[in-house]
Amino acid sequence: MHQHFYHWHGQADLIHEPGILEARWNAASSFELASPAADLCSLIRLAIFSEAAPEFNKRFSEELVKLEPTFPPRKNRELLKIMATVVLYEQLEENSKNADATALGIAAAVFSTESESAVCTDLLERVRGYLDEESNKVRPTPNSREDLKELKKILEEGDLEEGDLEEESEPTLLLGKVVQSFGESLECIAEENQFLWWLVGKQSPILQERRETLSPEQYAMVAAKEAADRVNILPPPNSILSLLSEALSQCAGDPQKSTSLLKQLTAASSKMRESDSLIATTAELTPLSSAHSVVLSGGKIDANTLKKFRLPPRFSCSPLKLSVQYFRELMFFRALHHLE
Amino acid sequence: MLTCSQPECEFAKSGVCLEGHQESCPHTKAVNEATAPPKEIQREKQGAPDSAAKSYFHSGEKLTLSEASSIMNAVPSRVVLVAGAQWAGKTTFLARIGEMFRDGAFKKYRFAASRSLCAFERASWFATISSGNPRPETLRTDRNEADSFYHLRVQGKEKYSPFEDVLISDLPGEIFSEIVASAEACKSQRAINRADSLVIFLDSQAMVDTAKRHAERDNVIGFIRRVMELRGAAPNLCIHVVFSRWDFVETSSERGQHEIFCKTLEKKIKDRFDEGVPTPIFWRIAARPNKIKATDDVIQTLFGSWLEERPRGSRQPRPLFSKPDRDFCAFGQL
Repeated sequence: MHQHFYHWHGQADLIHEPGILEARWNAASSFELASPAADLCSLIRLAIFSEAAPEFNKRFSEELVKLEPTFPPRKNRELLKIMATVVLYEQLEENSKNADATALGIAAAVFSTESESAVCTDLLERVRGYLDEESNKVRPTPNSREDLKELKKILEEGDLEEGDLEEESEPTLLLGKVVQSFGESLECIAEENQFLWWLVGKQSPILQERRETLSPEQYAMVAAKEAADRVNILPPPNSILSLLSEALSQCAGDPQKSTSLLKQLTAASSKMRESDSLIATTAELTPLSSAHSVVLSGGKIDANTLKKFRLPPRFSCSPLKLSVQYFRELMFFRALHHLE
Repeated sequence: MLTCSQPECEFAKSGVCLEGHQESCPHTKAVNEATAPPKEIQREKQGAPDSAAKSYFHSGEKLTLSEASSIMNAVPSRVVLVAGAQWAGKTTFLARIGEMFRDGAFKKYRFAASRSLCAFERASWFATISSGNPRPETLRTDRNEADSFYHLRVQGKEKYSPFEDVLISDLPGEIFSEIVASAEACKSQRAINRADSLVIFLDSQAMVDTAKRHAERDNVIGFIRRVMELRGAAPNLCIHVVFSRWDFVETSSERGQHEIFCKTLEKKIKDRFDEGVPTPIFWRIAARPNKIKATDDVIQTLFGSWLEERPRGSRQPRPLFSKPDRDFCAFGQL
């Protein structure tokens, strides 16, 4: 149980019966995702925005009541929000596809700082920690030298007999480990190379134009898409903010200057005419992609549309911020596709 | 016309008894066709879910912990604790808020609902002409009323404003001094543990009395210290210090001197609680003054600040990319 769960729970309840906290934490931990992608989106929606589809709320509520009978079955939205936070927090305990999707989904959903609330502060902190740690962990410094040394020693000692190379033997396991380590290193290096060529080339592969001829507004979302295409391993590298900043700084203009969202979306929509198939599932969790799909379908981006996607009216931000956000959304889509 | 009291029995429709009685079934009863409800209504009644049949009525008094919890379970709520010595004007202040909502005098918010209308009415009663009281007064809050809550649901007057629920606990004066004296008393108050906003009253009548004002000051500082001990570094808590009954300072012959004392006190409190919490905000109010105009605008601003303050997280800024294993992971370190 999280050390602050008492305070999380206290946000929605003034009475703490003895033992109830442990029971509620355990109940939320035991909740199983029936349809991983859709349920994960509903949980994130509930934890961050206090809102989810009524059918999901009902199912989640019923499941919690089954697991913890004192949980109020009705008029419990704020408690559900806390329980959803617990489910998400538990997802982040171990590296998994679910954990990647959870972390990337939450990171994408809190684009507008208005959506942050006290209950999810610890969750957001955990998400940052997870993405930071896991991103480094899946991109380690190649360290095959020691393994190779040991393998060489075994091979040099000679006396290998036929049985020594059977499935569970020490040389076989070592060989397997070395090969796997090489494979992982190659994947990391391939990813790095992709990014380096992308930066050094000073050209947009999607637009087939030199970056210096593009404005940051035109290129922001395209840059995010190009960067996302180069990610081999999830979670994506922590350096993405710097990589996107470098790519956008090659454009003609200041990538940090705030510009209206509508202007940037319109500029991007003429270049990118596709939206992800999961857009209906993610909706306001991926505000830029959702707004982009509205533009693509000929819809109007007004205050109501922005409100639907949890963005303030007349929203504006820098191309760099927009690019990083769109990149996060694309990574979330990819993580969700991995779950399906 | 005969009908059966057993819900499964279709005797009334088909004339066949569920239990096979030919006559004198113990469950049949006569119903006057003229007074029986139409069949559509009967069907609707049968089909209606249980919850629709149940109606709960609220007493209208202050909410108990479990009633307040049931609101908090359902909707995001702001919890406000109003504390201060006896006769500092806490209840009068809350009564004034209720009165302003009743008159429609609030400029930024409109009243949407309340489950404690009777409690608000009770707090205001002795200030009304109908009470027969020669001068406006407010009933003292009894110590049994600790951890009970006034409830207000309000809505901003701007377009698309959401409803906001506020639960206000009026801490009885006796308990205030107990909390200053004992950490245990502080710990036992649920509202202190949960409050988003802490409104502490400094009685201006004591501020103009050189014999009493130091004790009043020490009590307020002692109270804030107790709360801070309980809540730890509590960045989610906003502290408001209210110089209540400000008309006593304004109408005093030594007004300048008292104002300087209040200013010095403000600075002292700010310096003392500089770390760990957002800086306390100071207010000067006179909810029901004798000789000056009531500070309704200030009261409205203070009320608004409870809703506008967003809970601040405990997050400290930290480097995003800690100990990268590869240069690539930390490229640029923006």
